[in-house]
Amino acid sequence: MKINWFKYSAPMNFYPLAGKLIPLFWILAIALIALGLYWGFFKTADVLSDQKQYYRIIYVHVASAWMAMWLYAVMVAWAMVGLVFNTRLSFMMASATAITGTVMTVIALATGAIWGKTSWGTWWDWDPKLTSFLILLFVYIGYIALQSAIDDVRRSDKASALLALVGLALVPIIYYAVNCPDPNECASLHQESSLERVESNILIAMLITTLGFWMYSFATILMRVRTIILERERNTSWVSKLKEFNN
Amino acid sequence: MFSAFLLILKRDLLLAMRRRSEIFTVLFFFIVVISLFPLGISTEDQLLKQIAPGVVWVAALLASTLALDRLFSDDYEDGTLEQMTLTPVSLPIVVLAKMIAHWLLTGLPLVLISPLVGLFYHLPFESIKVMMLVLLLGTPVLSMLGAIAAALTLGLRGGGVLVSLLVLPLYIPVLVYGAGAISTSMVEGLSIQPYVLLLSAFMLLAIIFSPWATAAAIKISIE
Amino acid sequence: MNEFFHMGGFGAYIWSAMGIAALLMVLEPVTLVFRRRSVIAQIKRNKRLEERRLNNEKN
Repeated sequence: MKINWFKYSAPMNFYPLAGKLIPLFWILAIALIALGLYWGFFKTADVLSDQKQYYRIIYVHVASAWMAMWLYAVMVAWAMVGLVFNTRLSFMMASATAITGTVMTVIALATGAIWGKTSWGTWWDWDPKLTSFLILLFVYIGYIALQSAIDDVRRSDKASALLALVGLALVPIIYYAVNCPDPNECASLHQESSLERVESNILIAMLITTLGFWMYSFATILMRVRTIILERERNTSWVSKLKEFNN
Repeated sequence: MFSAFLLILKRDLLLAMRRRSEIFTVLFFFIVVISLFPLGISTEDQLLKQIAPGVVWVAALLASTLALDRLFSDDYEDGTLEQMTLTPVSLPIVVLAKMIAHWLLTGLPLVLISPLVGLFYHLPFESIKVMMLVLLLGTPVLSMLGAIAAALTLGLRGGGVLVSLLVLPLYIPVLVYGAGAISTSMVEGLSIQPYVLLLSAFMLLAIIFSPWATAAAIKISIE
Repeated sequence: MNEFFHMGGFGAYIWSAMGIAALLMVLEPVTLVFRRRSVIAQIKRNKRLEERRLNNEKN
C-alpha cells in the first residue's frame, strides 16, 4: 500500500489524523514512563548502596535532558522543511515543538540542580553541562519570544525558523566555548557520560523512561498543533464543518 | 559591485556624522557601565584586576546590543531598505557595507576608549594591549551577529529588548575567549595565541556567513 | 514502606525531583486542553453570530 505523505501536509487532512494518534501516544507515554520508573526503583535496589540512592533522579533527569536536545533538532528540522517547501504545517509543527522543548529543558535543569545538591553538595555549579542547558533554555526562549512578537503569521513563521537555523549553526561553537574556556589546556573536566559504565538495569530503566518521554512529547506536540491549526484556519470552511462545532 | 559597497559605506558614515550624539551615547553607556562595577563590588586593587576582563566584555556586549537598534531601523522606516533590496547590487554586499559602517561608529570607539578601562581597573600595560587587540577582533563579530537579530526584529514594537534577548546568548563564545585572553595575559608564562586565533576564526566565519543570513532576514521582514 | 520513601536519606530530593517533573508534565497538557476549549468556544460564538447576521439579512 502506498501512502501519500503529501496528503497529510495539508492541515485539513492532518487535523483528524493527529486527533486519532493523540490517545495512542498518551497510552504509550504513561505505560512506558510507569514501566521505566518501576524498573528503576525496584529492579536496581541491590546495585545501589545507601549512599547512591540518589541515582534514582537520573531516570527523569537524563530522559528530559535528551528530549530537550532532540526536540531542538526536531524543531530546526521542521523549520528547515518549512523554509524549503513553504508548507504551513511544518512551521506550525516547529512552533508547537518549541514549547515542549522548553518544558523539557526546565525539567532537566531543575532535576539537574537537585542531582547536584545530592552528589556535589551544591544546587548550582557552572559545570559545562548545566551551563549548556541554561543556554539552550535561553535559545528556546528567544525563539518563542520572537515568534510571539511578530503579529503577521507568515513573517513570524519564517523569521523564527531563520533564528532557529542560526542558533543551530552556533550551537557547536557555544558548546565548545562552554566546555573549553581555556584553549591552552583543553581537557574536559566534567564527568564524562559514558553509557558503558552505567549498570545495565539502570540503563534499561533510563532508556524506557526516555522512550516514554518521546511519546509524551509526540502527544503534547500534536495536541498543540491541533489547537494552532484551529486558531489559524478558523475562517476556512473545513474547520466550520468539523464535528466539534456542529453538535 | 565594490563601488556600490563603498558608496553605501560612505553614505552611512555621512548620515551618522550628521547626528554625532548617537555615537557618543553608546560610548558613554560603555564608560558608565564600566565605572559602576567598582562602586558596586569593591575598589580593592586585586579584585578589580580579576573582574576587569569580564566587566569590559559584558559592557561591550551590552553597548553593542544597544546600538543595534539603529542599524537598519531608519532605512526601514523611510523605505530605503526596500529600495536597496530591489537594486541589482546583491543584498549581502549592501548588508556587509552597513555592518562595517556600524562597527566603525559603535565598535571602534569602544576599542579606542578601552585603555581608560585599563586605568580604572589598574591593569598592567601588557594586558591593556591585549584588551585592545581582542576587542578589535571581537566587536566586529558582535556587530555582525547582532545584525541578523536586528534584521529579524525590524519594525517591531519593543524590538530593542527583544534583540538583546535573541542575541546575547549567541555572544557567549566571544565573551568567553575575549575575557579569557585578557585574564591569561595577566598570568606569567601563558600564551594568548590560542585565544587570538579562535577570535580571528570567529571573525572570518562571521564575515562569510552573517551577511547572507542578514540579507535573508531582511527579505523575510519586508516582504 | 517507610524505608522506600526514605531512600537512604535522599527521599526528599528524589521525590521533589519526581514531583517537579510530574507537575510540569501534568500542567502542560492541562493548559493545552484549556487553550483548545477556549479556541473552540470562540469559533462557535463567531459561527453563531454569523448565522444570526445572515438570518437578519434574510428578514
